[in-house]
Amino acid sequence: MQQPIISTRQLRKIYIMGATQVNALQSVDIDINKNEYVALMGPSGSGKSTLMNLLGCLDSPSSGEYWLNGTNVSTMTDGDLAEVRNKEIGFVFQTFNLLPRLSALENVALPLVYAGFSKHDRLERAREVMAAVGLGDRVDHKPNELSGGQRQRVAIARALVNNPSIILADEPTGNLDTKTSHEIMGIFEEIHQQGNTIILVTHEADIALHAHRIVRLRDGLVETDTRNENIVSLLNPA
Amino acid sequence: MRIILRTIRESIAQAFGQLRANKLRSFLSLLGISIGIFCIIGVLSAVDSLEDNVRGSLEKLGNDIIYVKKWPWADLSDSWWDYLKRPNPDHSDYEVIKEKSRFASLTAFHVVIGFKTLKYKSNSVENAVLIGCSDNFSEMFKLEYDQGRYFSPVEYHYGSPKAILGYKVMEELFGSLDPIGKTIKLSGRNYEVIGVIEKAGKDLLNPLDFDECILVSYPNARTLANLKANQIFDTSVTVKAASGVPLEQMKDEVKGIVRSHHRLRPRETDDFSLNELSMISSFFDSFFNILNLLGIVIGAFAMLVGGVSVANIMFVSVKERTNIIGVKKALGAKRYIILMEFLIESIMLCIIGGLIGLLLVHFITKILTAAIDFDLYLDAGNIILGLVCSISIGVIAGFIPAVQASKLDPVVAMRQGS
Repeated sequence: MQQPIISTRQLRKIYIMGATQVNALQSVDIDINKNEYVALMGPSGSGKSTLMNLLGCLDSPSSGEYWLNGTNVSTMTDGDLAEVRNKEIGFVFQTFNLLPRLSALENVALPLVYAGFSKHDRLERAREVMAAVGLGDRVDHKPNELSGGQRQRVAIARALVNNPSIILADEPTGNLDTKTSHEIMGIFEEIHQQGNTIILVTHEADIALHAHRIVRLRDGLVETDTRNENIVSLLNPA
Repeated sequence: MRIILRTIRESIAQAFGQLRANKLRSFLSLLGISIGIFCIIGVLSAVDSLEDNVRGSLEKLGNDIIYVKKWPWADLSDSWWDYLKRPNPDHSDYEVIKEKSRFASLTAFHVVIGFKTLKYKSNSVENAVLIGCSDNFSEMFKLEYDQGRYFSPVEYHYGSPKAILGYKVMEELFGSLDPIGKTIKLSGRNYEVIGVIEKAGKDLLNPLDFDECILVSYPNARTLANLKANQIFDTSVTVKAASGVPLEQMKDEVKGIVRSHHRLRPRETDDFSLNELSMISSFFDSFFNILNLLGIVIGAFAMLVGGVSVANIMFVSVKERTNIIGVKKALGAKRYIILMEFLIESIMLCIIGGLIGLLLVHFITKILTAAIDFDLYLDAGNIILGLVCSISIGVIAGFIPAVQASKLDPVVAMRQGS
C-alpha cells in the first residue's frame, strides 16, 4: 500500500479567546493519498477552516501529529513551515488574493521568487502554467484588468507553479457566478487528471460533487468520510 | 546567499513601485528626512567652508613666522597693566635678532603709525593706515604688486620720500589714472608713488589687508614721527624660521636673544610676547567646534522628526498591505524576506529624502557662492555623511514596522481587507 501524502493523528486545535477556550478541532484522523480529489464540507463552525489552515501549514496544531509527504510538520518552526508551504502546497483562495500591482505572470511566478529561482526560469515556468490554464494571452494584464474567472485561473496557475504535493482550494467558486464556477471546476478536474492531489473546501453540495471523496466535519470532528458515488464530471458528462 | 541578494534586488524594485504608487504620501514623509539632512549637511558644509576660508586667511600670517610684539594674541593671563607697561619691540630688537638668530631665514620689522590723510591734487583719502616697513618686509609677507615695486635698497637706505599704496587707497586717490610716478601729499610732505599692492581677496578674515594702507620705508617713517618715545604705535618684529627648523626651537632662540638684549635677569618675566599662528587657530578651532555641534544638534532634531514621519508612513504601509503580506507568507515568504522588504523600503525612502536634502544643499551653496562671492561648497565627506545618516535613520525608523509586518500571522493577515 502506498504511503498517504497527508496523514493526521488526533489533530487538535484550541483557540484561547480571553478566558474561554474554543475547541475548533477536537481530534481529527484523516489520510489522503496521492492523486485523491477530496471535498472538505461542513457548516460554519464545524472546524473546516481550521483544518484547512492546519493542512495548509498556515497554523500549527495544539496537539496531535500531521505528516505531510513523509515529514512531521506539526512541530516545525515558522520559517520551516514557510518553506513547506512554498514547496509542498498550492493555495487557491475564495478572494483570489492576487497582488494588485503585479502582472498576472508576476503573480504566478511569485512562489518561485521565494524558492530562489532565477528570473528567467521563473517567468518561463510561469508562462507554461499560465498557458496550461488557458491564459497564455493574458500574461501582462494586471489583476484588475481580468474577470473573476480569469483571476481565479491566475490563482490556480500560481498554486500549480511550484509543482506542489497538494492543492488546497478554499471555496474557490465562492465569489464566482455559476457559469464561471463550472469553468473553474473543469480546470480542477483537469489538473486532478494530470496527477495532482486536490483538497477542496466548500459548503456547496453541488460543488463538492465534483470531488471523488467527501469528508464532512461537524463540531471539530469528522462526521462522515465517504466515496462520492455520483461524481459530476465536466470532462466526461454522463 | 543568492536568495538574499535576489530578495534585496526585488525589494528595491518593489520599494520604488511603492514610492511611485503613493507619490504624494511618500514625498511628504521623506520631506522630513530632506529637511533633516539639509540642516545637518548645510550647517556642516557652511562651517567647513568658513573654516577653510578662515584657515586659508590665517595661513597668510605664516605657519613658520613668529611675531615679536608687546601684546600677546591670546592668553592674557597676566594683568592687563603689566602688558601695558611693557616697551614696544623696536628697531634695535629687529637688528639684534637679525644679527644673532641662526634659525631665522628672514627677519623684518614694521610699525603701524596710524591713520593719515593723503592728497593727490583735489582728491583726498582719509584714514589711510601708515606703516613704516623694514627693507625685507615685502619678502616676509610675500607682497604682490598690482603695479610698480617695493623700495630699492638705495631708496630704503636714504629714506627717500617714496610710498607704496594699498589698492583701495590707490583707487580712491587716482581713479582710472596711472598712479606710478605721481606725487601725493602726506602730512604736508610730497611722496612719489612707486608701487600699488594687489587687491586682497574676498576672504572673511584678512589679517594682512593692505588695501587701505600706505607703506613708507622705516628710515623715512622715523622722520615722520618720534617712534622711540611714543608708546601708541603698534610695532612688530617678524621672524621667519629657516626651512626644517621647528618653530619652537627658533622661538626659544629668539626669546633668549630678546631677553639678553633687554637685559632681563633670569627671574624676571618677559617684557614681550612671541606670537604665532597656532594661538589664533586654536581659538578658531574651539569656535568651529561649537558651530559644528550646533549644526549637529539642530540637524539631529530635524532628523528625529523626519525619522518619526518615516516610521509613521511605514506603519501605515504595513497596515495597508496586511493582506498582501499574508498572501506572501502563505506562498512561502519567510519572515526575513518580509522584514527585509519593509526595511529596504524604509531605507530607500530615507535615501531619496537624503538625496533631495543634499541636492538642496548643493544648489543653495551654488546660489550663495554666486550671490555673496564667498566660496561655499558641499564636499564628498559631507555627502557620504549625509547618506550614512539617511540609511541609519531608514533602518531605525523602519525596524519596528518591519518586525511587526514579519510577525503577522498569515491566516489573520489574509482575512484583513480582502
